[in-house]
Amino acid sequence: MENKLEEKPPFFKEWKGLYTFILLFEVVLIILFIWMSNTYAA
Amino acid sequence: MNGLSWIDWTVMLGTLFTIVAYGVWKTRGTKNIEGYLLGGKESNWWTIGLSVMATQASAITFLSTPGQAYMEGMGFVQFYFGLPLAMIVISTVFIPLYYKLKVYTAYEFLESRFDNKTRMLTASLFLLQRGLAAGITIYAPAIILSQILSIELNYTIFFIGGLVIIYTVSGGTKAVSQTHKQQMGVIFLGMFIAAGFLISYLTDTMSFSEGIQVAGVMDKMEVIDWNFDPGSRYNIWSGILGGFFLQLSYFGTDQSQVQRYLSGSSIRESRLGLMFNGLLKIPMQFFILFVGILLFLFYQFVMPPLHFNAENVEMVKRSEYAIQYKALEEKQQTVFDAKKDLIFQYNENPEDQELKSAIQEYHVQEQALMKDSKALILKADPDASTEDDDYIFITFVTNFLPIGLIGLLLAVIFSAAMSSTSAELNALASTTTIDIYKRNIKQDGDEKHYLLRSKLFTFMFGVLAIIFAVMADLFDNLIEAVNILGSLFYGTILGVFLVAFFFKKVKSNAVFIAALISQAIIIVLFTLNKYEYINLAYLWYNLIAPGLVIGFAVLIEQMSKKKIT
Repeated sequence: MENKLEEKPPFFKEWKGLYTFILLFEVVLIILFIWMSNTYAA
Repeated sequence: MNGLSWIDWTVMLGTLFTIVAYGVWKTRGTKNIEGYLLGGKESNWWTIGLSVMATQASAITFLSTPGQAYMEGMGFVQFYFGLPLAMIVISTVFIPLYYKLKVYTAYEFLESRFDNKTRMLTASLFLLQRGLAAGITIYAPAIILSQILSIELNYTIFFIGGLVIIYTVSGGTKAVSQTHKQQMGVIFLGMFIAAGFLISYLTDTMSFSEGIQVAGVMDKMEVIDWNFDPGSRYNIWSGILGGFFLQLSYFGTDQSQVQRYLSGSSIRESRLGLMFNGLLKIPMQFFILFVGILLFLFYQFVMPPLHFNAENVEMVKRSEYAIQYKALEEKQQTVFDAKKDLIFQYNENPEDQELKSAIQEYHVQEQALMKDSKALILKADPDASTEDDDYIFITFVTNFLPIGLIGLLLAVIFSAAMSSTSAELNALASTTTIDIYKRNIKQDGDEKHYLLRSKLFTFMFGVLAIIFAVMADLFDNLIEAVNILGSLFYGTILGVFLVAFFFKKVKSNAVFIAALISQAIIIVLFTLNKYEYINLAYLWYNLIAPGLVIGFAVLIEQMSKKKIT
C-alpha cells in the first residue's frame, strides 16, 4: 500500500489526472498560438 | 570579432571549468556498473527532467533557433506539438516494461521480447547513427565559436571534446546528470538575460506590443500553419502526427534519452521527469524562437549586416566582387532607412493599410538584397557556405551585449554543446558495454571488469567523436549525410518497439524481416524525394516507417503461420 502511494504523482489522485492536465495545458498553448497568428497576421 | 576581453574569457572559462570540476568531484568513487551506467538509480524527477531537456538541446538549438525565427518566423514551434503525448505514451507503456525487466539499455528489452539478432540490429543502428552524430554535435558549434573567438577550429573541437571526456569518463551517467543541471541553469540564465536586453532595447523605441505588431506585419508571428501539405517542413499536422512519432522514437528508444530516465530512483521519478519535459518543452522552444523575433525587431532600428557570417563578408570584400558587394550594402542602407521611417509612421497609424504594404514591400526588397549578397559570395568562392542563420544570434551577443555577459552567453553555447555530447558518449558506451560486449563477447566478467570497459568505451567514443569532428571540415557533405542517416533510422527502430509492445503474437523473425524491408522502402522514398519525384517532408518518415514495420511484421507472421498449418 505504501509503495502504491509512493507511486502516485504529486497534486493528482492518479497519473491519468496529470496526463490530462498536460494535454489540456498543450491545448491552451495551441489556442494561444492560434490567437497570436490571427491577431498579428500580416 | 577581434578578441574577447579578459573578463569574458574569465566568465566563460570559469563557468565551464567549475561545471566540469563539480561533475568530477560530485561523482568520484563510482565502484560498480549500475552506479556508472544508471547513476546508482538515485536521480529525482527534476534532475531527470533537466537532464532529458539538456540532452535534446544541443548548441545548435541556441545558435540556430533564434536565427530560424529571425528569417522564417515562429512556425518551428509546431515541430514539438507531438511531444507531450509522446511523453505520456512512454510514461505509461515504455517505462513500466523497462523497469520490470531491469534493463540497462532500451535494446536489452528487445532480446527478452524477440531475440538477440533483433537486439543487435537496433543497437547497431543506434551505434552507427549516434556514433557519427556525436562528432557533428561537437563540430557544428565549434565551427561558429572558433570564428567568433578567432581561434583555430581544431582547438575548439579539442576543447569541447576534451572537457566532455574528462567528466563523462570519470563519473558516467551521474556526472552527466549532475552537470546537466548546472548547464541548464547557465543556459536559462544566459537566454533570459539576452531576452531582457533585447526587450529593453526595443522598449527604448516602442512598446512591446507595438513591436510584436511590427513583427506580424513582416510575417514573423504566424505560429500555426493549417495547410496540409506533405512537402512543407512545419505545419500543425506534421507537428502533431509526424512529431509525435519522432519524439516517441527519440525519447522512447534512443539510448541517449532512455538512459536519462532509467537513472530514476523509482518509476514515479522517471515518469515525473518526462512529464516535466512534456510540460516545459513547448514553452521553452517558444521562448528561444521568440528571442529570434526580438532580434529581428532589434535589427529594424539598428542596421544589420547584409550577411551575418563575417568571414564570408571579409572574403567577398577582398575579391573582385568587392565593389558590387559595397553597392548592395549601400542599397540596403537606403531600404533600411526608408523602412525604419515607415515603421515609426505605422506605429502612429496602425490601421493604415498603405503603410503596412509599403513596409512589406521594403522587407521583400531587403530579403532580395540578402539573397543577392549570397549569390556574390558564391561567385567569389563557389565552395563557401552561405547559410548564415546560425550566426545571427551570436553576432548580436558579441557586438551588443556588455562585457562579462558575452562570456556568459558563450558559456551557454559551450554548455549546450557539452550537455548533448556527454549524453551521447554515455549512451554509446552503455550500448557497447551491455548490448555488444557483455552479451556477445565476455559474459563472465566481474563488476570491476565491466566498469573499466565502460570507461574505456566512453573514452574511445569521445576520441572518435573528436576525430570525426576534425574530419568533418574536410568533407563538404558529411554533416548533411549524417543528419539524413539519423532521421532515416528512427522510424524503423520505433516500429520494432511498437510491435514488441502492442503485437504480442508477432515473433522475432517476422519483425526482423519487416524492419529490413521497411528500412529499404524508407531509403527508396528518401531517394525519390531527393530527386524530386515525390515531395515528402522528413517528419513524415517517422510515421510511415513504424506503419510499414507493423504492417509487414503482422503480414509475415500470418504467412508463416499459414505455411506451418
